[in-house]
Amino acid sequence: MKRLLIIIAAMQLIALGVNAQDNVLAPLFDKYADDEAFTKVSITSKMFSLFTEFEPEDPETQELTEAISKLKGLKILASDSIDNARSYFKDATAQVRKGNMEELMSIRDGKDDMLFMIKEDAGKISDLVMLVGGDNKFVAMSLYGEIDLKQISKISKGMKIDGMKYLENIDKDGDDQE
Amino acid sequence: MIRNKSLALTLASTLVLAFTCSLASLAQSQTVDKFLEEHRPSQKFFLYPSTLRMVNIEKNPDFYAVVREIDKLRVLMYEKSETGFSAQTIRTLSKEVEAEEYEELMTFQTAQQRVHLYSLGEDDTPEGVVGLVETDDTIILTDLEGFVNLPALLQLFQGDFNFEDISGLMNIAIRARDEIKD
Repeated sequence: MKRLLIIIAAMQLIALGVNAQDNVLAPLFDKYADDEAFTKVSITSKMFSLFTEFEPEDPETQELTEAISKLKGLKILASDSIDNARSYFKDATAQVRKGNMEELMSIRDGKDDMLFMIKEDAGKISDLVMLVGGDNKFVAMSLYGEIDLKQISKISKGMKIDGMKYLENIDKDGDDQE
Repeated sequence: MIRNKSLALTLASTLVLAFTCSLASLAQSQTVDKFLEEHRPSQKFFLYPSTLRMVNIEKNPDFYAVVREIDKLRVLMYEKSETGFSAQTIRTLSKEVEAEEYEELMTFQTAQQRVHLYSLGEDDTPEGVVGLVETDDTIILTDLEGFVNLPALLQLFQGDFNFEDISGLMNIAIRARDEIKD
């Protein structure tokens, strides 16, 4: 029960609303929708919009909540105990590269490979995809809306959710990473 | 003039009463009410701001801000083995909650747990949140009257708040339940 309450609170934090049909990872999320090997998270735009209700006194928190309120959806598919995790990563990478997205950065962290892809339109990022592949680990995350990478990076630093920590690697719109 | 004033007062009173009644009728889920009427839970907790504040052992001001707007949280737990409830129960409840015009906030699914969160009200006037949870052994319904201050919750996550303290919440609730039997 304790764990559930913590999970519910954590979920409220990340909240985003996503229509699976709207993003490049939709086929992947659909394919494993009923696969119990994966943890699945979906946050709707309604959750993010609730942040607009509050006006924090602290300017930094104000910036964060403003950034969050512009998000439209978040979907996460994750497992740390699957065989052939690297093949999942490879397939997902191929699928994302086929879409209209550009690579933000790729990272090798120990045994884990990470790939960040974005969709940019008129200087604004509307989609962020993160893929992680390890020996037994696979994470696919799709975030969309109006995305401020610096703010998302700040949020991710405070998150204790597996997978989100990789967003800490986004510092300056990714231009100092490779 | 006096007549107009009286009329305005009557109109204002009526509007306030209507608004209050509509809030009162909307704040708690009718689906959860009905389910509680029809099925006796194996465990039932009603948590109030005073109870929630007791969890805040370290007196973190952000935690107070998180729970300040919560009026009441009720938690109903049903053992699957005793009730025969299943994933289908949650699917049916989800449809009924959506029919009440609750909107989906998020879903979370692992091999052991499935969680659905819904909220009622406009963005600028949130009124309540319903949670439907299925674990291997239990079905849990949560119905929150009021709302959670999300930026304050964000600050809690970014700060040093020990979420393990939340475990004390259930112990407090269990003690309260044992002391005040329905």
